[in-house]
Amino acid sequence: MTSQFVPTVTNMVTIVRNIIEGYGMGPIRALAQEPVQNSKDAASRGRARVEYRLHKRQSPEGTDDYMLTVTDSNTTGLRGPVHSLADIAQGSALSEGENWAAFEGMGYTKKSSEDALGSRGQGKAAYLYHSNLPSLVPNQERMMMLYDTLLPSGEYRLGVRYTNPSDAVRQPPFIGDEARSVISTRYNDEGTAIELGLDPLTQVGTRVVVPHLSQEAVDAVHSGELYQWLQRCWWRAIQTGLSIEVVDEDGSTESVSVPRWWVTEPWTRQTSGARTYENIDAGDGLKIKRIVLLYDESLSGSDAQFWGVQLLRGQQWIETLGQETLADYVPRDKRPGFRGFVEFDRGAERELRRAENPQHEHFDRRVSGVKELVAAIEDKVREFAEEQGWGAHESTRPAPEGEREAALEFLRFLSPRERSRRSAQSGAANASQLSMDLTERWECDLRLDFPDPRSVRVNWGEYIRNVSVVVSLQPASISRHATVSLELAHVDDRASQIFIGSQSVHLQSGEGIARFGDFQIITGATSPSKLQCARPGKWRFTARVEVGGVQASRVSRSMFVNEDPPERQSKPYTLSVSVENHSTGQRRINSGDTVGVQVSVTNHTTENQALQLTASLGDLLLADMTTVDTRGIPAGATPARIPGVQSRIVINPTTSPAPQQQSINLPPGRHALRADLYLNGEVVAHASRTLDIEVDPVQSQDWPPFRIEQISGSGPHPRWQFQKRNQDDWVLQYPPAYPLYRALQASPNQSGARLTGVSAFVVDVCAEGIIECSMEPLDNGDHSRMDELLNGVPAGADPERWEDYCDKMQELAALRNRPERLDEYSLLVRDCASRSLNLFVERG
Amino acid sequence: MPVKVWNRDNGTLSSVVETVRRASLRGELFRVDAEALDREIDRMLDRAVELAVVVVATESEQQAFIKRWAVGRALMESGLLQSEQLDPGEEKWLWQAIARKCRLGVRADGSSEAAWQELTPNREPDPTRLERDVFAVGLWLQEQELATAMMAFGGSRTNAREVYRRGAIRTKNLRDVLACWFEELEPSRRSILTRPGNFLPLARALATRFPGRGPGSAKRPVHYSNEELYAEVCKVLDPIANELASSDAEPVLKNP
Repeated sequence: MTSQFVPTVTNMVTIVRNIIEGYGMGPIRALAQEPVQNSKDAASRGRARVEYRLHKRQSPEGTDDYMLTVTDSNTTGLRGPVHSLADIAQGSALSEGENWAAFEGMGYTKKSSEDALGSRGQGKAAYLYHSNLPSLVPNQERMMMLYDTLLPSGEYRLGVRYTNPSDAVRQPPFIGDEARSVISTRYNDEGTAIELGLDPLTQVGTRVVVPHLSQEAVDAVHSGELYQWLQRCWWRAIQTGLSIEVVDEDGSTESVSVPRWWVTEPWTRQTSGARTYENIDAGDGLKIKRIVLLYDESLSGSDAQFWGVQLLRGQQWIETLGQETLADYVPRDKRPGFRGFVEFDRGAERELRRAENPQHEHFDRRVSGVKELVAAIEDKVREFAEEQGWGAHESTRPAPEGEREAALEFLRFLSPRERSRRSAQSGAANASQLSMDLTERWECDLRLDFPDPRSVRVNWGEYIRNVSVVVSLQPASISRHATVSLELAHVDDRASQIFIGSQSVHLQSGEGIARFGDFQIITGATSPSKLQCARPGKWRFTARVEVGGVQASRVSRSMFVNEDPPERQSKPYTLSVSVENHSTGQRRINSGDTVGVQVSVTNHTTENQALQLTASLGDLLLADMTTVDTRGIPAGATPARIPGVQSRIVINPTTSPAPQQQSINLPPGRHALRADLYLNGEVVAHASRTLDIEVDPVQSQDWPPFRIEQISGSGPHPRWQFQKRNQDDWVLQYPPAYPLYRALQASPNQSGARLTGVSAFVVDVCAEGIIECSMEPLDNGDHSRMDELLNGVPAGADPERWEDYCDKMQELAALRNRPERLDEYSLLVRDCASRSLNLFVERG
Repeated sequence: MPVKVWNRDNGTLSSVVETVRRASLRGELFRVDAEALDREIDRMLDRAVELAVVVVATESEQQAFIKRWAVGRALMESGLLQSEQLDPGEEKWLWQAIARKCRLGVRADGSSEAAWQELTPNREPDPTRLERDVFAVGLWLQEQELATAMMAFGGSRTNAREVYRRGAIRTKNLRDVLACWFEELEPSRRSILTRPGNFLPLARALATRFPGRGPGSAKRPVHYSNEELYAEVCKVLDPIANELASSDAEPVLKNP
């Protein structure tokens, strides 16, 4: 029979290297894992017998040369037909049981039903990687493996595979007596002679021969490293019938055994120091079959490397939850004696298989369900740690009254409830209105045209045109005079302030306009139509409306001189939801109360965009893909909020609601008002707000949006942290053991100072807490908390400084979720916190 | 309403009266009320047996499904839960009393009733789990007629639980549409897809399409008309069903 090698065009040496060097735990783990996995899959109920045997041969040069054989029995052997040269060269689909062809081929197509984990040639690569076949020509890299199999039919085959560096398989393989003859003597090919000298197989199974074994693999056999990997990977399968032996070149045999701490199967009987948790629901239909945790203080020394909780799939170790996940629960001194393993039910194993990397050593946490499974395991470790007396190292308690009062004073200062509200209809940026008396509502809007309508940047020499202030008054029937003044200043330099002018406006039909004309931006001296803005950067126009010497309204707009405005929001479109109890003003809503609901849409881009809004409360659909037309804004300008839903809803009405009102019946409890914003069928923003129906809110009021607690424990804690018990129950925790807190506690309080001692510490962490609390919903495009916080001006705060704070918060929002700009984000958080503290300290 | 909870110690039947009424008044003071409730439970369980036996199911899993549905329907018809006498917090005793009567097979007068013994699980979990896994699911299942519920879940409690545990897709209109969707399939295909292992991806896909919270959660199944919801369900389930059905037919290649 004519035989030949079928080469492929790929550089198989590189491929093999890439595959095996992708094993985070090294090539010996690959050698321990892949061959056994293949054997186990080919055995009835996984009860394969696998033998790793080292053979010493003499090289022609007289040096020691090692060869590894990995032989399995009680398996099916490499069954199935030997495929033709054409099939191997062109690739084709394989069916169940075509193991020989699958082992020979690298070019076969993958069937859609084929398990992705088994389709990358990991098994072959694990062998080839460890073969250092001598080069025939300089700088040539060669690998080789031979494989013989005895099938139940009695058929005997011997195959040969080279990588040099292309992949080549001998076709057809040696068959029958010829195969037996070669395996028991030597393999000879042009330039390559392998002294085999092995006994032909006598039991059905497969043997893979790795000639010229790498020194790394030889050392791993001698040092016991291979044994340890085999034990760690396969102990659970060994417990249920798999058998693995490692034999060195002298015939000394070691059977891989179950680690001593699992030998007694502590999950089958009460064992001191061990706990078994079974059938644990991890949510979403995923179940953990068994978690076994054990603490044995006698375990130490080299056994210590086994600490942690092994995650098994198909009785095979995949990864260990250790330091990164469990360090919080298992104290350092207990770790050497802490062991655990987890087995999953069939459904969860299926999901985990999808999450498993090709090297079988990690589950991808991004695959659905994996995080939940890990969280469920963590829960049990925490429980176990507490039972062992390790976990009782953390406790919380409400902040002491003095500190809580100081924090509340600061938070009340920032409370949106404590300020006058901006009209919901006002789309203008930073517009504000004041009620002159109970019947009058004044508003104003500053309008101007920038040189480039897509940006608020103005270069020196360019003009801003049609600067005007539109003043409006409700009720419109009142005729009044007002004075409108306009000024400009650099945001970081109050001394740069330019008074542009002042005009008297007569309001008829509720509206009047003050026109200031066009202005050129220059570096020289200010004149009637020129504004000196020598310093580049952000400048702010401020218009004030005064009636009878009292400020009735105020508005500002920014421009950037010779500088690009900062980046926009990371989310192009956002939603804002507000709910008010019109009946009582309280957050708790009782039957019969009327609530006002508003859902607004904001477009942060330069382009006009029609978006679709869906909103609901319980069974009541408030908007169903309702189109909201939004206008783009120049870069750097503050966008307008466009109302998408405005409703008055009677909750659990006892009488028929008025015609313009909607109504809904909701059982006592917490119910969510939800809104989704769509663009081209995809959700681009989501916001929600909880309504407390006939129950008290988690917070005693809706501001501050979090409670304040002290946290104590044995380990160090961050300066502050949020404990989010659910969407509406945030707790800001700070550690009284924090060094700065303790130092402040020891220092004398300054009488008369607004911030002093530990109260200052608590207010400081609240300043950062309020920022995080406002920013977090932005991750989904929910602008509600930001809008609520920044609406209006806190009582007693300097409006200009407040505006600076608002600007910085908007800049911060633009940097949210941009890992590459984390430094800037962190800096800006501190900047915003500092600004809010200054506003608080300097309030009037 | 005070609840009588039966027990059997060394073959002897006994009972205690449990109530949340004022601690100063011992439960035994309400034994007359509790006895009356016990007789109502008898009638409810008899009705459950009656409802369960009218349908002949060959598979044990289907029999269990029918019993779960029957207990729910009988409970709903009995009006026990709507009783003004049942004080808040006493439901847990009611669940335990019903489960215990089933497990022991004991009527209010102390006589035996073997027919009840398989209406609820033989193992009696804590009242919270009893409520969640047995009675709440039963009440929820009975919102549909039995045939429709059987069609929606292939007569499998496991499948029903997969939907029940995902709050956003629990609604009756979605279950009705799910039943319609299964009904349109050929029986052989339906049988493949209602195997619990295959049903799970369907439930998960529906939960992904109709999330309980977060993006995409504003419009829920209850906001759709039946026609719209059917179209959505087809959009979500058809591709998975095709994939599952085809993979079920083809052999799987094992890694050699």
